[in-house]
Amino acid sequence: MSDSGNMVEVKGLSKAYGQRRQEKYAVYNVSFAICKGEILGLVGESGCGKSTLGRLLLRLERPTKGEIYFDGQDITGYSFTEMRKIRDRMQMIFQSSANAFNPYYTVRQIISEPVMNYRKTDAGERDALMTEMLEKVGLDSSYLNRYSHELSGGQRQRVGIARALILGPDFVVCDEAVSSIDFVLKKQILKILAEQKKKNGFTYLFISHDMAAVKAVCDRIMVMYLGNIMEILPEAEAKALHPYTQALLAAVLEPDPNVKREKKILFKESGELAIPEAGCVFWPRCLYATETCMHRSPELREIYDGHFVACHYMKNKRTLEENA
Amino acid sequence: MILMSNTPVLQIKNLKTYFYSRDSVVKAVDGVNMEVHSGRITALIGGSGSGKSVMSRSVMGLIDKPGKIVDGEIWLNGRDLRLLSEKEMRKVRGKEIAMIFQEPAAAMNPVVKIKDHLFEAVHTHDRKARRKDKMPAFREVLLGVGLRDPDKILESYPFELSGGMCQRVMVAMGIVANAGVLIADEPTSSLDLTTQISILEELMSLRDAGIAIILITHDLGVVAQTADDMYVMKDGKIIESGTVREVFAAPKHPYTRYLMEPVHVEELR
Repeated sequence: MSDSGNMVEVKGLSKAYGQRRQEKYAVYNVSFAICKGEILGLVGESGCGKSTLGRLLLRLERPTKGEIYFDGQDITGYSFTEMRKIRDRMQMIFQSSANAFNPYYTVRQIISEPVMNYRKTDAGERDALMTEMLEKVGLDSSYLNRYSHELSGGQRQRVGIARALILGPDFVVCDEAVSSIDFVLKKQILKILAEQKKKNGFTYLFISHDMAAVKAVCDRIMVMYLGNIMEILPEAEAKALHPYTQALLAAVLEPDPNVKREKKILFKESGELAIPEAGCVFWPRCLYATETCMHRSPELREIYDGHFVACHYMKNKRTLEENA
Repeated sequence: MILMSNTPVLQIKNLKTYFYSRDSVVKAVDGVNMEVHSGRITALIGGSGSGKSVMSRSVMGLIDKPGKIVDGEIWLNGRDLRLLSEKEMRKVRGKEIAMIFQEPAAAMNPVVKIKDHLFEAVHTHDRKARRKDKMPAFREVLLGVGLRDPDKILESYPFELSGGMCQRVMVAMGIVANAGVLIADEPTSSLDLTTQISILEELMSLRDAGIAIILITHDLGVVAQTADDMYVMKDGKIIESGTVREVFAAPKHPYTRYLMEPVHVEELR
């Protein structure tokens, strides 16, 4: 099927948790593709299914419905052993590096584990490989004998990146890789990720709720709300059309005291995020919701070149201009 | 130095907090001077490990061994807090100066209802207070921080509330005993953008009501959009201070300039 240049493609992907009668969808009927060599940003509020989607793509979770293609192969039904054969081509950088490592392992053990699992090397070759990788992320071989708790948060995060990239994977999921670290390190880590992409043509899914970081590194941005895709922006600077994306972007605080934030209510506040029984998932909070929105759920449609929006009132370019 | 006509409500002079280990000393806070005024938000900004949190814990008198405040003065309402005994300090904490923490859910007891959390904050300072008499005041304070259904919230446990709601409850606990100074240690770092805005708006309305707020953060956007004064901290020292407008218009220290330099988009693509 798809060998067009898509690294990852999913069709109608859903993931539900819970018992049969009280199933809750964390990801619902999601279809999209990630091209080779691109960084796709995935944004949304906490609980919208970003992480679940990232884990589904790497088959760390079993999908309830739908298909996942990895470099053209349908991996939806792959067994554990079959998945293991291609795991070296897909990696994940975890959100909290403090919990992602075995505390009894030294950095050497942490980084060499994937190498020992997938490459035939002797200790010398491994050391050379590890030193090279550590240098790429701004550390050096003196860190090899340290334990993860002996590192600062930023160093630990970089060890996580080194572990994910050492096998030269084709596809990396960065789950909030820069969210918990301070701005100085954030810049460094974004640079490392972007460099690796440029040099080695890595493909990333960059999950974050940090809009500034997403805008800085991503080629396209996908917006999720309660398990559904609301909008896919064809480029980082594209004008947001969906009311939810607009609200998210309006919440970004400009680091400039002269730019006054407009005190505009962009969407209704609700205590808990619950999926409504019918209609568009966003209607209970949407300012523009009408009767139609409450009954019929909108499909994700291409408004123009690569710009997808799931909203009834974005039928074509003309209505957009009228709305604007 | 920030020139203000009125005297600061909180003044920190040459504060030094060191941590001792067997063979070394970590100077987490190393000679900090700071002034905090009523009705203003004072931002304290710095990278992780720069000493922001240790500095605020020092002010609250929450430094435990192996840490120690070795020098300096902390003047609040005409008294040096360093000279107070632990018993006297307990009366100050919560009543004159309160703190809200980064992880709201982790800072609350999961088996204690919200009303009891609020009551504890009051009861510590007013032993004669009765829970029943205080309920209307609690409802009002919860409404004040933007929680619309106070009766339901009062009967809830922390885990039944979302992160943003927990953080609002934390703010309510901070102001329920009418503290004049509020230290907010990264109050929005663990929250969504949309929730962040509403918490910051609560803090701004508290400022407008005359409370002095110290806002600890590592987000320049938050500083630019909410704070009045700012201090930049690095390696335990204040390296730059001034009003937010002044510092943003002309950052003097190279580190501050580095912080303010945006991530270069072209370079990364």
